[in-house]
Amino acid sequence: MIPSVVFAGLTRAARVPPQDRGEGQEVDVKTGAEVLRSCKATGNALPVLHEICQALKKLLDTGQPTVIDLGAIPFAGGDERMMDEVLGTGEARAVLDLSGESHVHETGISGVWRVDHFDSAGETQSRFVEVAFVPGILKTQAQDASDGLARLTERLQQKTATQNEWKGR
Amino acid sequence: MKPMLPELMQTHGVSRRRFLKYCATLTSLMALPPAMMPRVAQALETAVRPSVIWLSFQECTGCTESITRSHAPTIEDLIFNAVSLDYHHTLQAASGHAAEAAREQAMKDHHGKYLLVVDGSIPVGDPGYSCIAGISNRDMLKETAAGAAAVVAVGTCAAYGGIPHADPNPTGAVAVSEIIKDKPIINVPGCPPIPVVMTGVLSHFLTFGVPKLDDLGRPAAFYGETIHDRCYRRPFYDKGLFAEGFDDEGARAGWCLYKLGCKGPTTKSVCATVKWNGGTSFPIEAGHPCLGCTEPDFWDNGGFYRPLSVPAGDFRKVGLAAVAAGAVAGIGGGMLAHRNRAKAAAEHEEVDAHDLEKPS
Repeated sequence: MIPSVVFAGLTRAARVPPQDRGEGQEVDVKTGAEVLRSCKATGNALPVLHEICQALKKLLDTGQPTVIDLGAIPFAGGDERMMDEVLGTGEARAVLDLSGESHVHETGISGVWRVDHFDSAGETQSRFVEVAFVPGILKTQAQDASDGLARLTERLQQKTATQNEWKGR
Repeated sequence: MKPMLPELMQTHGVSRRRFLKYCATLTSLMALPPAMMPRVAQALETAVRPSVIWLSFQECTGCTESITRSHAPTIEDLIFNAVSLDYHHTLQAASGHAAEAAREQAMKDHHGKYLLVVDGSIPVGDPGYSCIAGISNRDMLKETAAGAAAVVAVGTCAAYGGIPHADPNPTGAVAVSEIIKDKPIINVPGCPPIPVVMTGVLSHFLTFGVPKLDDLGRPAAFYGETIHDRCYRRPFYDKGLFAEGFDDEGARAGWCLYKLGCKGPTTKSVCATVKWNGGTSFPIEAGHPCLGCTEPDFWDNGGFYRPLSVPAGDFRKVGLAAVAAGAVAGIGGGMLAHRNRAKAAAEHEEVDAHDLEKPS
């Protein structure tokens, strides 16, 4: 039996030195994916789920959103699986193109969103759970709307000028 | 006068939403709570551009290359542009007396407020080994640091002496912290440091001042964990699967590079998560062991391809506690035998992963 301890978000199996291995005993070779799948949980998923539950109560009572940074917590494959199991999949899903994609989706618990930011190479930049009626990143920013107004006004002026030109012919 | 960040963003067609995404990631990277994100964004937008004087001493220009060679225009570029870089020998157009006049003017105009960035080590064996405009590096550092709000030692050379300090250290190279004792010094080691780490430190200084530092003067947010802690090959280490050569089955299968000399377990940096070249990869992902370039005296660590327990050299006296703590954390919660570690440090003895696991 290989004893295991949990540390820093990963399960480590204490190694058996070659001299202690039985005669003819084969080394257990696994692919990278298999190794990653075999990772157990750190035990952090349950406290985070309770935090999400409290945040949802706060949202309903006060309207105040909460953001939880998943990058700040040791999380292993088992924790991700447990969180996905409990939260499930919801109705809304959006992909934003912001110097790399940002994936936003509502979980099966309405008001609880996953927001994952990726860079242009598809590498994860940051991961959040956002408890809100609408995640902040989805909202149009006033400055962007102002820039949009300027662009739309310019385009309308161009279009009007083109139409006037046609009418004049 | 250069435009501030909002104008720069508009010029480059960067939406505020994209800026907020950057701020969310930066807040996470700086290990600040997500609730601080609006403050980070506001601080970046409203910060008065600090004057920056960048001094390059005994260095290879790799640090400047790193911070300037990014996929333009990135928001990191914009933030870098949001400081007033008043003196940088490599980048500025002026030279000779005009260049020195620019430095003196910036020092006079922004006395007590400017940020001094230094890359490269300082020769004290004979100050004449490295001079700029006839001024020795040591004198220029002392003179310029006197009016600085803080000093950022960029790269391992400025932070710990680096390669010029490597045995036998012919120029008597020392770190900035060996000369400047009365100013806050932020060490940003790496050979070179990751661009986003430099801009992250700069952003932290702009938003909230000098960041929290570790025992080696490094921002804890960027140097708080070992590369090993976050390495995607860590599960192989945990399973005891090691590449024994660069072309064996283990290397092809992507197993842990510890036995090939990887210094990941004792090296604190965000290489494994932030990565290089626009987040493309990092050395271990490319199949090469970590050299440990963010740690003091990495060059004298007994060989890049030999597994060692702790770095050697003079900085061991200063940094042993931190390095040892990193080693312990990196390889598994206190299982590193003190006896083996001390013995290996003293004798440069090669140890492998099994030796490190033996109880003391």
